[in-house]
Amino acid sequence: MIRLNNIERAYKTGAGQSWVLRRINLTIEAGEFVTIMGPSGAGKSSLLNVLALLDDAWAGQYWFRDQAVHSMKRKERAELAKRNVGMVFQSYHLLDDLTVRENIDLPLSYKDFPARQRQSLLADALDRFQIVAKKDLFPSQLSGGQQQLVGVARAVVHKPALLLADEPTGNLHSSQAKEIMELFRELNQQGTTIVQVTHSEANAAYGNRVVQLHDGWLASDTAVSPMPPTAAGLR
Amino acid sequence: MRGVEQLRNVWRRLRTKRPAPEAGPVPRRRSERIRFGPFEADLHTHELWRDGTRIKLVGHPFVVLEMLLESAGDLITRDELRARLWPSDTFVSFDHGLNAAVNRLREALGDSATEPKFVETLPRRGYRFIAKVERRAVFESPSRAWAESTKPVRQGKLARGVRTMDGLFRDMRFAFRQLRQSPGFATVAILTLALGIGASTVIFSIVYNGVLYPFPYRSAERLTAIMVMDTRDKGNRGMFPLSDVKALREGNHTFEDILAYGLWYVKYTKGNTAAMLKGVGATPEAKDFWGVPPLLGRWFGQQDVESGAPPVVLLNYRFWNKEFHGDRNVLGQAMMLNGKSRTIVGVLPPRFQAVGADLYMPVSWTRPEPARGKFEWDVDDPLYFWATGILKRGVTLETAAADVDVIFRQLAPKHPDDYPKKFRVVTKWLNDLIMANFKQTFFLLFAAVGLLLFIACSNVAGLLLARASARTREMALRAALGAGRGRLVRQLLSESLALAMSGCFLGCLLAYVGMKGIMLLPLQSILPMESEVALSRPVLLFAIAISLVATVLCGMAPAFHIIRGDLQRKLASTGVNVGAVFQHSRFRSGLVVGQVALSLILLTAAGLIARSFFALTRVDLGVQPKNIFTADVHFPKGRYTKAEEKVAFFERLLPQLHTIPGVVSETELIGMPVFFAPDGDVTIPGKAHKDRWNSQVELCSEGYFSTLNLHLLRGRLLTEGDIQSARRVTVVSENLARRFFAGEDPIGKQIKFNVFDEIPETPHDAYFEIVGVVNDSRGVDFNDNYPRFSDPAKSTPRGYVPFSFSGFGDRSIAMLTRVPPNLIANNVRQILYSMDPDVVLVGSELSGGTFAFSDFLDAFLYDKPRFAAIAFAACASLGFLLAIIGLFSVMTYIVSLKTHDIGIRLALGASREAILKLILRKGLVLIAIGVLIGMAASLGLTRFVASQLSGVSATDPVTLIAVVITMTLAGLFACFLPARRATLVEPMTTLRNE
Repeated sequence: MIRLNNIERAYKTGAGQSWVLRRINLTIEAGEFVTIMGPSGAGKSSLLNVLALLDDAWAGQYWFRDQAVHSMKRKERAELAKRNVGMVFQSYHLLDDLTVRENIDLPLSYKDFPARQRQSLLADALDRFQIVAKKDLFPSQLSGGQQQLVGVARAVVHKPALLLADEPTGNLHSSQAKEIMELFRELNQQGTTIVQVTHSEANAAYGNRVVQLHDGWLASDTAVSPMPPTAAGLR
Repeated sequence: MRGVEQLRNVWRRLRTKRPAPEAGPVPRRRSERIRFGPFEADLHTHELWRDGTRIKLVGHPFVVLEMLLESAGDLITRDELRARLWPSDTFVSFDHGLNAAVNRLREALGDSATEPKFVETLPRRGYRFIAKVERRAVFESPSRAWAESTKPVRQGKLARGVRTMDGLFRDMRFAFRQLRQSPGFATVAILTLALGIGASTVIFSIVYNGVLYPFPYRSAERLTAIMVMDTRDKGNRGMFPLSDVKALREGNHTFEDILAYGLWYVKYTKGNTAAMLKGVGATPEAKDFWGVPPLLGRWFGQQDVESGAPPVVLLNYRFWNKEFHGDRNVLGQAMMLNGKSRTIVGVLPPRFQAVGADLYMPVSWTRPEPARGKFEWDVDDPLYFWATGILKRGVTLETAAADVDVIFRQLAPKHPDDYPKKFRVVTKWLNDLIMANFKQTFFLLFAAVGLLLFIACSNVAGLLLARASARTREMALRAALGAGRGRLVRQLLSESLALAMSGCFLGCLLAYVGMKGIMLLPLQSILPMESEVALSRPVLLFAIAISLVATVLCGMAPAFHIIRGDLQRKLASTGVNVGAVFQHSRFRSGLVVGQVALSLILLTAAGLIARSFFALTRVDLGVQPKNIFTADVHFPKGRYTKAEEKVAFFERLLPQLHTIPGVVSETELIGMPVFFAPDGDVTIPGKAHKDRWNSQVELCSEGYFSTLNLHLLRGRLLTEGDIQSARRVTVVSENLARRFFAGEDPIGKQIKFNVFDEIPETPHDAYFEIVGVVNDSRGVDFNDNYPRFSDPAKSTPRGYVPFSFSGFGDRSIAMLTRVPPNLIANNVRQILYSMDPDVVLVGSELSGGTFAFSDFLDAFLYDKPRFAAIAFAACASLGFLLAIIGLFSVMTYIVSLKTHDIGIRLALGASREAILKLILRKGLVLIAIGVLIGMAASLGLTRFVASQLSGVSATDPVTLIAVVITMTLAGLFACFLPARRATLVEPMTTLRNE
């Protein structure tokens, strides 16, 4: 699904350049659940931004479903991302002045879905995440776990092929974190490819592959055997 | 988020350590010293010691140290450092600056980045203080030993004073630096304040000096004009025979005194030239009545009107300067006035301008009443006098009117010619009479400028509140780091003061320059002559005070927040979660809506007034006003009174005028073209009518029609033959033909102009045969002394008859020229002098003696509306500009608050166009609300503007639509720039700050 070839990313600093990604080669197949780990400043979020097509200033080759992202124009990349990628953030990033329902509707409103389909997708998501009762509340009226639930609902409402999550449970209690991770597993089992960035070994255990970054270099790439649900629940 | 957690801890720590304020006599904690390794830092005094030796470390490096020490062991992010070191609206190379500060700090501590002993670098994240720290509070006595040993040698009351001054000085310096560091904000705020102060001061000054307190006279506010109003045509008569004014003076109970003064033309002979001067004859108590001491010499008095007293004259200041070049030795010199030698006994001060005369002469109350004829001017005294009184205190105008009404009822039967058949006594403040309707223009302008000042202040308020919101966190941080509330308030106060002072300074400058600029406008023909327009100091102080208060209050907003506030929540609002400060944005939006609404009101008023002015200038006079020379020809007393003499004179004069280079055609006439001519009822055989068929009648020569470009519609024009043989023929205007000969051909019909029957020297019962019809010309109506062009349907019919018909009165000449008319005045004077040195040429009094018909039209009709149009346009454009700036700044602010939201939306797939639309929509909502409120208010306020308009309705849809469109488009443009900036938000950057 995704093939990265010698991806490099540098930031300009006062003196010269500081590298955050060095010659990253990575292939992610459809249906995988990949965890990116590494110490702070290793380039995890930068890599996620590249995958999310939020970043434009990288060098190298990026194939998304056999389409050459590196030779696309900015607009085409945005279009690609819009259709195929959903994102979950550590601090939820819900819009304060929109209701739960409006927040979830946001990606749909940007993706030119016909009104009827939009309605049904929205209803679907509210049902699936069991937040129908909260649809008219504002984010400030929800707990952190509930907010992240909305964040995930928003990320997958348009049924993206790729779900990217940057420390999705970083701000949550462990019980709430577990719920979110269970949700991820479920989505993965339903066919969504997931890439998550996390510090937590427990979270990594939900995935089937761990990629270690260190100072911008890809340090290791190991497959893990997915834990049975019960085992994860015991942690 | 971790950073926030740390700050929370800091706050908690500081809170628990702080002793209760009512701790009684126990030592007061002064500050905290932190020891690490061989170093010791005092966070209060910003001093650093190494083994007791003071080390120089100031500015940013110390602040970095301070922050690191406060959370020793914890990570301090680069963003936190940045927020503390640089205000959010500064744009410097943060990274470079921060690295430099840390390097300087390390240098001072002898530390290194590779092997840190104190400051550890966490790459791309921030710094951590790794050494062990030991905190100790420093207390004032009793135990000061430790403090004494290290304290610099400044003590006692004096030292504290010095330190306070030092702090103040530092605050001010910091405040000015802050302004310099955000030049955009500072420029807009200072300019806005300055414009508000400047514009309002200039206009308030004019209103104050020119409208409210224009007169230098004693009891100026109680000067009252006494008039009678003809109840039939509502016309006022304000001049009476001297004996009648005397009767009023002696018989009334409501006036302290009544002065009689009248205006008449005086021929001044000097060498072999003659000039017409405006003279005022006033009764002897003028000195006390006006209460203005002369600049030189003395006033006239009772002794000057005793029989046998030598004739005296006082000079007007302007005349003295013009004629005698301000010569102080003028006293005692003689002037030949109307053939009589008068001694100059005094010169009046600049502001004494009663009636705008050149000369002032005494008239005895007991002067014998001169023989009167209607058009006789050349006499020793005025024929008629104004009756102006000083109303007793506490007496109303109505009471006074009722009081003198009794006297008038007795006088009227004695002088039936001087009083209307049915009349009512009217008393008016002299000031109101002179300013007439124009006073209202000034009060409207006053209101307009008030709105402008309001817009300016609210604009600055908005700007400051935006900054306040942006700085709430900075303030919370400062408070958490130990800045007392007083200290914060002082800092903010000095910042607002720096802003307000700069604005006020520039405002004064603008007021001064604006005053000079406004002097270039023809204020003389607008304001009373006595008024002296100058910058009014109380007004300036008032404007400055308002601006200062507004600026300082709004500038203090962040401090109020702190005082009210829950610090922790504010600290937590890292700029990501902006809910806490959002109420400001709502208030600011309110301010902007208000500004848009107010500026819409201003624009509408200005638009209407400008349109009214343009309508006025576009009114078709029926004649062609450009390049027309007009002047009165004054004949000497007792000469040229017969028709033949006048004919002989003009038959010699007109051909000579034609030889002047640039003259195209010329004519004799009776007054100013179109505007002044005798009028009265007409008699037409076979057409009896009860109501008055009013018609003007012009006495002219054959050149009249070509000179003024009246065109013949039927029949023929007057010919040279008609004039020479004084044929009783007349050309009439189209509306005369239409109104009095409806459906008939007027050619060949007879008409009598009854006004001729009232003039003794003129043949009575004269019927004229109508030989031609020309197009109408439009006159003016006087509505409360405010001239307006009459409705074309109602303009007065006119007849034109050969001037040779009668020899009465003075006459005028008019010429069509190819050159500017005023340039040929001397040629005309020379020709007149060569014909008869006693005949004097007089230009239009209204335009200050010039000869161009257009000058007269300006002074008579256009100057006031033009002034109003310019002044309102200036006010409205400033208000408009300020409102647009306000909108721009509030949108910029909203965008900066929403940057994070926008980042999320972009990350969720929003296109740049969607973001642009989102922001524009927000702006449009503000504009639309403002426009709606403004429209409603404008429509509600129309009655105030209506009195200023002619030729355009107060609800003129064209103006309203144009104003709304202009406001909306300009507003959208103001929103577009911030909106465009919003589309450039990088989602990656905004979402990374976690």
